[in-house]
Amino acid sequence: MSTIVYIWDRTRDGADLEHLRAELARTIRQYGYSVSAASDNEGLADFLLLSEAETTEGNAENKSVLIVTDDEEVLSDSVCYRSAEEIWQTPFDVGGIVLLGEIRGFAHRFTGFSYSPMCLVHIPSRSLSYHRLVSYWIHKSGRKVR
Amino acid sequence: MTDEAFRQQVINRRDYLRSSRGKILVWTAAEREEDVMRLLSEKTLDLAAIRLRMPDLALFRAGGFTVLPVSDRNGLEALARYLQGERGRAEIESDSGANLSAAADSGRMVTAFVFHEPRIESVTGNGTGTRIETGSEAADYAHLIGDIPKPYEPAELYVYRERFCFPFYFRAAEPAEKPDVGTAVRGKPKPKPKAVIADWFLGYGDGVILLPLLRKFIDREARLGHEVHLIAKEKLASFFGTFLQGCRIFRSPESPAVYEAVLRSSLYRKAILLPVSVSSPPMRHISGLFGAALGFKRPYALPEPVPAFYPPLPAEQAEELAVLRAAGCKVVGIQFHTGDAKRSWPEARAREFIALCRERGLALVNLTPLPYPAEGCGDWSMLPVEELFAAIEGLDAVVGIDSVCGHMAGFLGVPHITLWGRSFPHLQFPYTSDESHVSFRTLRANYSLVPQSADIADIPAELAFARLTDILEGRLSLRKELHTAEDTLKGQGIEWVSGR
Repeated sequence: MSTIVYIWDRTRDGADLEHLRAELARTIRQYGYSVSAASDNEGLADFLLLSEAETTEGNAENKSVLIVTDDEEVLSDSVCYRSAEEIWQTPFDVGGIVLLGEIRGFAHRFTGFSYSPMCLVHIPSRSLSYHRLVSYWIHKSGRKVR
Repeated sequence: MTDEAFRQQVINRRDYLRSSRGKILVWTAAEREEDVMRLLSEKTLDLAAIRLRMPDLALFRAGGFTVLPVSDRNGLEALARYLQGERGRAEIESDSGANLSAAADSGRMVTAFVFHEPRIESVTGNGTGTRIETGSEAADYAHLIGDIPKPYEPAELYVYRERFCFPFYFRAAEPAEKPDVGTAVRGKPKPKPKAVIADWFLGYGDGVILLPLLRKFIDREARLGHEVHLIAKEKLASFFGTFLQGCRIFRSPESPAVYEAVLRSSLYRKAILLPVSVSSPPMRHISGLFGAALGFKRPYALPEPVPAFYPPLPAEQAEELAVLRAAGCKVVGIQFHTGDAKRSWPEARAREFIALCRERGLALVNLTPLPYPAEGCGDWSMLPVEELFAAIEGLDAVVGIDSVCGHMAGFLGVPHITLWGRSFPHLQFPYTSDESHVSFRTLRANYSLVPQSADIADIPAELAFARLTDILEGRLSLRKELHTAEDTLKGQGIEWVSGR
């Protein structure tokens, strides 16, 4: 079964989701997993990167949402005790936040996560590599015994 | 302190750390990993593990790490002698084995551990009682992991003997393992555990407030088939270990690198970091904040103290208490000092208060270590913090600073006075840019003396003594119900104190 990630654009002026999707797909492939952007490839690829319009109801177990935003409020401690799912109103796990733009209000502190349970925040202006986000997905969805 | 003076202090501290503590990297093959960890864990748990690509060893050397290879029994013995102080850093560096051979530099992956060379100076204190923190261990650890080369990130958690964990660094974009993402749904294996991280900022008082919430959380998750792993610094891990069954408790270094490692770890499906601050209103009580973070919708339920829950008072103190009771004395516990100077009541005030109590015939027992003699007081400061529950339960009242004894009194419903300094009952760090709208007031039965200046020295001994006698003689009754955030905002049980 595929791990499905819906990419939701929550920026004020719209973001280049195709570029984001391409970078994510490239990084996933670097890890040796297959990835597809076509919803009818469910079950054939390890990861499906789909758009918000393709969000479907039903079994939430293998589905998550990647929020793309440009609002620094995601890093505020006023949301640190609330779940990302509650804030973004989704029945699926929020599998990460991509925070676009320069960080101004929170530049002085650790900005790698937010919410409770913790949700990974990726800030492209600080790291162009999507490795951290992709390895996080793989670790959360994958099984290994140590 | 001026900004410049503060900056200089930070620089001095950093320079001191850099010059005083050598950084050691031990690398080893998989078959020796357990042996190496056994040796290291006897000396320090402030470790980080690294999945090291051998050519990168040069990066660590450039970062000031001394390298010790453990590839065979000789290497293991050399490490043991070094950890016992029988060999110096210079000797290790001069070892031919410490220099990479061509074979070792072949791009293979090994496990490495980094740590500070063991301290030479002896540790003061007898290891019992409530430890006063200096924060130096956390600063040292931050220095250690801050020097791990940038290509490496804390992407996993290294767990040792099901009791200790520390960050496991991997080279970014170079995953060492490829988990099977397909089996996550196909095989329906046992759900991954949930991790709860007690922030390094949390102290014993927060631990007291957390106990019933964690109990409820562990029980709820058990019903859902989820195991809970509680990750905390040494002292809180030990505290939680006494009171919380049905979960695993791991000791970890104090560092945000631990948070990152837990968040990204394949070991956990979900991780919760207990929050401690909210920089904007509305104000919340810390118990509500913890509860919300743990996913509880309802307000905090007041815990019912269960005597069997905590360790009994040792016979010596129980007898002392019985003698005082037989003599008709009211017995009051005091805590006037902690590692934070701004929360500690000045010695002169404390001595004055003690003298007033003695004049009135009140029996005082000092519950935690003081840096000066508490003349005329019973000394229970050697009690382990876990035994303070039983100690405080047997008292008529407690007078103390914003710290663990007050929180235990609040948990148990024992009347108590909090002498506030640095913070207000409804606001942390007032008059600073770090203001936080979280109340750390105790749960119930609390009367708060709060200096408007946020300077604890402004609380006169006579005032604290007067309110204590008001409580003991029934003129001031304290609420047995939970102090809600609203009660605190309305000023219930709060007396503001103007400056000197």
